[in-house]
Amino acid sequence: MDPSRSPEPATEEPLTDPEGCRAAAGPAGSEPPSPAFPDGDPPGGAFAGLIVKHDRALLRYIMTLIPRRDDAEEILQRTAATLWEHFPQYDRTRPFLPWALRFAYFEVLNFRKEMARDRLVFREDVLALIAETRGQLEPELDARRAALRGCLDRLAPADLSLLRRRYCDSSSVGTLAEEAGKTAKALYRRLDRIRELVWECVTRRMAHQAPRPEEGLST
Amino acid sequence: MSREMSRSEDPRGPATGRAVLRQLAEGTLPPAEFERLESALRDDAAARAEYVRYMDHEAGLYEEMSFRGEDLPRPAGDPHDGAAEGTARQRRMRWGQGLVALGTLAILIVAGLSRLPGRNEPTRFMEARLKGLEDAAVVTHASGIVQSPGDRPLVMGTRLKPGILELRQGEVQIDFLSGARVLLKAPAELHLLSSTAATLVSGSVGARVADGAEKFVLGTPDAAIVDLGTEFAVNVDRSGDSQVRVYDGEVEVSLLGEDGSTVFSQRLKEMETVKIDRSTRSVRAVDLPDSMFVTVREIDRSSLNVTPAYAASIREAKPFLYWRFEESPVDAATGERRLRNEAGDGPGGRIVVDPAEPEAIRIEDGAVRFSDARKSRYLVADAPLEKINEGAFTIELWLKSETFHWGSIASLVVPGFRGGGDKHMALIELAHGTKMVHKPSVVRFLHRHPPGGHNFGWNLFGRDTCMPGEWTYVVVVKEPDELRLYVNGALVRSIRGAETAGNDSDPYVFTMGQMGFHPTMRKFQGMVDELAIYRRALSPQEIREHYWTMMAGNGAKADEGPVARNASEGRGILPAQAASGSATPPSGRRGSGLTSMASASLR
Repeated sequence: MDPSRSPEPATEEPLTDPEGCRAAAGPAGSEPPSPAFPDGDPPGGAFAGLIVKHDRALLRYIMTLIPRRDDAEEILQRTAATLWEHFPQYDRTRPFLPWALRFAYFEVLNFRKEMARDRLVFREDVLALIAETRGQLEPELDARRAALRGCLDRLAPADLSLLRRRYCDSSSVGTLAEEAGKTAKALYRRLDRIRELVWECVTRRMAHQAPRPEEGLST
Repeated sequence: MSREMSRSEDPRGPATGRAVLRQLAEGTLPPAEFERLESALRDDAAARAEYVRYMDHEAGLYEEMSFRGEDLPRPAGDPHDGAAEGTARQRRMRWGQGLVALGTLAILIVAGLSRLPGRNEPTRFMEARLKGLEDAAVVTHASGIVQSPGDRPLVMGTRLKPGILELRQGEVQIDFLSGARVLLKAPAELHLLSSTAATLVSGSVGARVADGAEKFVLGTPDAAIVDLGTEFAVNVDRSGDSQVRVYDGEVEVSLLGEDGSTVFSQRLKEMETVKIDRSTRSVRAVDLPDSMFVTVREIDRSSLNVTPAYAASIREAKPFLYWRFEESPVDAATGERRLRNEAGDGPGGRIVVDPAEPEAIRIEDGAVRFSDARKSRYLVADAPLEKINEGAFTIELWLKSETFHWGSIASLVVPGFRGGGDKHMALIELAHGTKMVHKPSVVRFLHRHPPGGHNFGWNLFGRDTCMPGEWTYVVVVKEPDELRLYVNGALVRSIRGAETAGNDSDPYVFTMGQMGFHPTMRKFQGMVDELAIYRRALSPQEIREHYWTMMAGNGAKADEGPVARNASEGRGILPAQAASGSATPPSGRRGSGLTSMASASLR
């Protein structure tokens, strides 16, 4: 098995996101083969445009292998620097993301080599298996992300705000508990309930593939 | 889909349960649980798939929460597909794209720049904080370096233990005690691991490892270059990719696996160049210009500035043999180059080299230079020195090594003995990497009586390292009951006692440049000048006078006195001083005058 090849896309479809939404850019490698930006290079040039389009996909991929957010962000930065170095060799007639994912994978391995003593990082053979599995599940993962967005839209504002503070601001549970006047343990339980609620919503939507508009989520 | 991702009979619950995975994502999973999870992921495809789904879900939560900003304006004309899911996302995306593009570029630029050592930041050497580490290398050249006040100066002679060198400006040349010489050019980061190994994290180095030196390994982030007696250059760029160019000899390039051992190797020969691609873990031949690589600086080969006053002081001391190496006329009969004796009744000498290596010994600018060679090469006196060991004798010379190595400089051996080696009565060496206990690259005076054998003898070792490229004054004195070693005018060792120095009336052959006549052993690499041999013991006063007379002609002031320096070895002559012959060393290198030179000497 060649793990560096596992992220190769199954299909090459046209760009399907009319808003230019990076998060909904479609399956890995689904941007049009060429040119990446028909109306000319976006701000920052072709490279920045491609990175902007795919950095979230790269981060998701990295987080599957190295789940800690801070570590994954670090690896993403290293990957971006490496991609910049190698961008002259990028064949613009081919999809960008699969090319970039290979670099990301090896940056993960490099990170593993550096950090294996200090952090809990999967063995290289396990990383390869995870990468391979991820490649096989990409279409399903895309559908799940769409389902996730729908579920979040229906989350109670207070729960959404709490999730945002926890995920977006990286606020510690202790800080959030203090602000909310609750104990950390109580807040953990609430956060876990919200996350379970969202997970089950996604699971349900995946099972039915047809959400009811009036459905709401509440803890 | 089941509530838990995988089922297990383990009382701790499923190895890939969501609570476990949340802990993993937050970095709070205990090691034992991590091992259980890892085993499940390796062995169970279903668990692996559930793990991927959950981690992608977590990443999606981060992503969505990051984009679900509050109160962000929605650009006019933003297409909207009307789908219920995606409303919040769409508020942000179009507005943010241009900003994010610029932001990403800025991050990339900043990230890129952050990997480039800033030229305005000071160069630093951070010694490994481990007790008991031995010296790994010595700085033999430094220029253009800016350091913070209080940091140990990286100047010629600075000893380095294992540690990290972050070179922000200029260049520094390091001689590893194994004999490898490495020039590092800023910006660069070099990790000194030992006297035989270093890792180039980023930047450019040129390296030279002489034949006969210990094996030297230069690592890069993903590879190791093992010298096979060679000169080569290595670049590591910011992405971790490496380029390796071989100038002379061969190297073995190894791509390293996860455990640090070789998974792929390739031998590179002269003028071959490869690129080691970190991301694809490949090695491929490339054609790159010389300008992309750096090469080591040649060690300073300037001669001593021997003044008439110095030569007069030597003659006044009445040596019976005085070789000044001013010229080497060719003997018409033998074709050999000859050395003239310039005082007393001692013999002249001849240069013996292999016809295939005629440059192995050269007379250059009034000194003799010994180069590395495969075949035997040496100087030998035309006639044995009669009764040299009958009482006292003194051998006096100036030497300058070109690298850290174990090299024999001068010896007195029993005539005609060739069986398995030479029988030495006296030996002056640059001792380095021997099986005896001493500092690296120090002067050794061995007296062995009766001559021969390898398991006895009186050794006097110098205290301080002889720096490559630096002239050192050496005097050995043998008296019937005492042996003395002087380095740079100061007595550094003496051994007294009836058994220390046996006497005899036998003749001994005087040779220089290698271990007697042995074809391969201990070839000295460097220069020697102003050799004088006396049938008496030079007094400490005479030795100091000779030393300071030479120093006066090479930039030092004799009136600043050697007395204060007698506690240790004085300082040799620095290259710039020898070259300039002026009364004051160039500013910025060592300060001026003997005081600063003494304070800068190796301790």
